[in-house]
Amino acid sequence: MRSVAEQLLTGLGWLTLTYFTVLNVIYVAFLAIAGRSLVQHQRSRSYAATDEMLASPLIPPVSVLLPAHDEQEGIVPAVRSLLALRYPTFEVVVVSDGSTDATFARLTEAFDLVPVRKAMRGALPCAAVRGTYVSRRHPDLWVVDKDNGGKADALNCGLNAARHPYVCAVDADTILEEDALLRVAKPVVDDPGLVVATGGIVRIANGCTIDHGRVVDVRLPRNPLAALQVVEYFRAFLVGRVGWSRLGSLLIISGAFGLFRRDLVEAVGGYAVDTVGEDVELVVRLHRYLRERGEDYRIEFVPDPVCWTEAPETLRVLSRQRRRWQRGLIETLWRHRDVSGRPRYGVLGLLACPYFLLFELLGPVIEVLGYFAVPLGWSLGTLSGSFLVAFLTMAVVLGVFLSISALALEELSFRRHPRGTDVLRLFVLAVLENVGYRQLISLMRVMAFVDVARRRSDWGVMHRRGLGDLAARPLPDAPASHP
Amino acid sequence: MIAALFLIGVAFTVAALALTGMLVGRRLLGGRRDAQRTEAERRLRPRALAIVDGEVDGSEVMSSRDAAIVSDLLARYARSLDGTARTHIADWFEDRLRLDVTIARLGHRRSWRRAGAAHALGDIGSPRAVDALLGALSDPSRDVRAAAARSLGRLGAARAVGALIDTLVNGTVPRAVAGQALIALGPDALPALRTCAGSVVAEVRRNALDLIGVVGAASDAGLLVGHLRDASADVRVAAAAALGRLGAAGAVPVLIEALDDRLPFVRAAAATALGQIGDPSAVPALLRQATGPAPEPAQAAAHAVLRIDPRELDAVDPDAGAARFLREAADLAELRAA
Repeated sequence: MRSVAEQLLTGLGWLTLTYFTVLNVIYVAFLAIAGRSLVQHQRSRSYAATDEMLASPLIPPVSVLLPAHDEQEGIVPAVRSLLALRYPTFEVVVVSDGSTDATFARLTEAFDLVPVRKAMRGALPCAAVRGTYVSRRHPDLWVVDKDNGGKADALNCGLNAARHPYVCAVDADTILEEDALLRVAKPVVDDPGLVVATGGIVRIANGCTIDHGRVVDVRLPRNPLAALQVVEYFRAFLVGRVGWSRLGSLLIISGAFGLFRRDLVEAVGGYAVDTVGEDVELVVRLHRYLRERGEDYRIEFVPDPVCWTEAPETLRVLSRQRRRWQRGLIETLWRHRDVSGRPRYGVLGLLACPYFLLFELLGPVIEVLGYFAVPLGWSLGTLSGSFLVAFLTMAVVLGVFLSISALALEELSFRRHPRGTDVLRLFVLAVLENVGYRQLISLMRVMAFVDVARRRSDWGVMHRRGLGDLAARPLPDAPASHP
Repeated sequence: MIAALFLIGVAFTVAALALTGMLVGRRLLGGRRDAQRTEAERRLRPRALAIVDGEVDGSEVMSSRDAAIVSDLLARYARSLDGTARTHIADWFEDRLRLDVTIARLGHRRSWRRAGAAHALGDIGSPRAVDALLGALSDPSRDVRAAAARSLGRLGAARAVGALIDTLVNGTVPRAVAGQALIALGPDALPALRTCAGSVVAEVRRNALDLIGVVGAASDAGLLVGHLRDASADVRVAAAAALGRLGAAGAVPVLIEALDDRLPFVRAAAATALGQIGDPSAVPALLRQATGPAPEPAQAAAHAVLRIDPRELDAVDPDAGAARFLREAADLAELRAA
């Protein structure tokens, strides 16, 4: 019996060591790709002439969609930040998804809403619309009040209301920088026939000073949990997204900030209402749709448009958020399981989907098993001390290296944290992120499998404090979308 | 193998520490450098403004470091200047030989240096750069080509029209950049655009009509009207949009005909154009379209009526299901009236 247990521990030890080794090789490769890509991007900013785009009549108009459910604290600054966007022609469509708090009342008061019987195109099914309103002060601000149907349903409703050929979906707990839409639309403007969707970087607003819907001073959050997520987001966006975008297989465009060609989203049936990962699922479906038709297309990540979001500051809320994201990923990969390994889908089928399946979906399970099995095997004498050191090297030391490298990419490119003390804290956090935090996140993601087994389909209750006065107050809740 | 992994760990730890040290050092040094640069810009700003005003010429003694900072300031100012102020800037660059330095940089081995130089030449504003920029349109890097196209537009280089059209046709420069450059050239670009409107390639015709709509004149209406019956739907849309932008009143009957196009997005473009032209004779046809089953043309038609004559919406039956877009327009009309 003991021998079987020892063999099991040894097997698990080798499995996790191999897993971490392969994962780190992939990450280092991505780091190299992302580093090169970011340097090129950064250099191109000096001659991109983004400002001149504003004067061009060739820029396509955009409908910005903002689904909101019980967002009374953050909705007004979020809408203000959208109205302050620098973009030639755009409209804002806020969809109040059966809000039970004062979301709608605050919008009415802040923007002087009046009822207008807006005609909905009805291209996509969605829950019943109760009323439509337009702002007397901002004629391009529309508010649709509808029965609760979930975020995807609200986005579909927004698509029905949208007038323009491109839609930009943003979360209600986010604030966009004034040039964000212009920059995220640039690939579309440059190659309108080719680029069908783009996503932008999401950063954490906790700790920053926000005034009238604008981030005026960037600081690290004082809350350690939120501060750790700053480093985590750097790695996710500056390494992961940039790398996948370069390989032509970007699977995640954050629901917090993504631009899509409207006719294409409608052609694939809009956002899926039966998953909590509607943002990932839509992108995978778009890839499938276009690849199955043999069309030439690009889905791109643009690293510099900035969307600021609230990050959870308590473990309970963080856990709820990560379990939901993981659940969304599980649902998406299960729904599109036939894509993996199929040459017909190119890099998507042969690289991106298998990677997400193995390292993003099953990865947390393998990691958690390793964190238990290797120290246990070592303490029982089944695994040697050098094996333990090798495991820690792959699981922790390389993680620290990658986090610091992601931080380096940020420092060499955007440098949004101006204070030296914040940067020093970020280095410390880059170490701590790999000692405790990352393991905790893996555990939370494993719990998502329990949620799936229990057929849990809800989003969990969201209580936001809002971005209106973020620096002054602690923040207890979670962004709705993937980082 | 375990030993190898251990060694990898040590190597990456050292790399992480080195990276950290490098970044901390860079931050410290960079901060000092930024502060010095800001101070130098503050000090040199009056001289740069004197150059813009023509009070100082390029013969003034200045260290090469100061000259580089003044160059950057002037290039930045030039983006929002025109006329004599821009000529003064161009003269200063020529006098200081910085123009030649920038032109020479178009041959740099690094593409981002070439692109930066191509971009700067547009801001400097010297016509002497045109030949070099025309050459840069054939650069292997798309960024360099785009920067050169943008600069040729900024310089108003009429003889670049043909080359810019070629980049548009071949797709060697982003459509928006080449288009914007041609728009900047204005009427000088029109003869070539009119020729392109007759191209056998639908994409070329579409781009040409788009741009004629921006830089063209009422006299182009005839050419555009002919394309409302083009075999390509995209071209028909571009023709309708161009007619709307030009406010071509003579095109109203043909645009009304286009409201019966078999494709909804062509009908929508025709309706929008009729709204822009604002001829009341189009209202009955637009009202008919606004009650049609296809949402895009119906919405465009309703908004066109709102634009032409909101009083026409007074008679809209609020309960008619098919007229939902007219109801929306009627509500908006009422709101505007209030």
